[in-house]
Amino acid sequence: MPDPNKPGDRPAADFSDVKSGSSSSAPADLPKTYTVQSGDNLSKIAKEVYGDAEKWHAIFDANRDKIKNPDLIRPGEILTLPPNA
Amino acid sequence: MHTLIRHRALARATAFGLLLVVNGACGKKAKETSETSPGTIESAVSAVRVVDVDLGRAVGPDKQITDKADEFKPNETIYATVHTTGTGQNTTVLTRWMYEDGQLVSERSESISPTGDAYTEFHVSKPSGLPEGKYTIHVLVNGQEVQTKDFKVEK
Repeated sequence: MPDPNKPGDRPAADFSDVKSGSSSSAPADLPKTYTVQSGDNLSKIAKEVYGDAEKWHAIFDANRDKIKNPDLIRPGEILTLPPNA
Repeated sequence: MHTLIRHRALARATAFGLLLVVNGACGKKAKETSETSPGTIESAVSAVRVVDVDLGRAVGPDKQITDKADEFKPNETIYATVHTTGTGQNTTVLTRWMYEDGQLVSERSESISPTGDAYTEFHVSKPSGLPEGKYTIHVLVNGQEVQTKDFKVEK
């Protein structure tokens, strides 16, 4: 006669409908940086990094402390590339 | 008089030596900085360490436990928050929830890229009620177990 109070005699616990989730205060990806080279412009960098030249706005917004004029970036300048632009 | 001249000469030589050392250090620093390749995308990689793991019934917007507990009712949602510190790119934090008989209850991971203290929450619930008994949560960072935490479910 199985004893339901004895762990060995209990039917196996059922975890088939367990729901789970997760989230974090940390970003999934860190911002990366790009060192400007001769002949670069923000559209070209956006096209290369994100596959979309129109995303130059995102790069400009992330670097407003360094870039005053989006048409003027200098070789050697290190730009922050925002993740998920 | 001779002693004074000798002292001045010694002071000049020492100052010159110091200048050479400072110059050398500056030259090295400048070289290191110039090694960043133009046109390349750089990303930071380093270690993330687990500070502690808390359990409870709720988390706040900052992902920290607001109602700590280690005993739960079968119909409650159980939260586990992993507090980490350090900087890392694509660090995998995984929780493996085990029942007392060795059954796997749930396994879930989060990929994080923290730049300091971070809180990653994991939660588990069962609409039909979690079986009563003892459970253990195993916390792994990049595949290595770093901490375990026990809790109970009772009616």
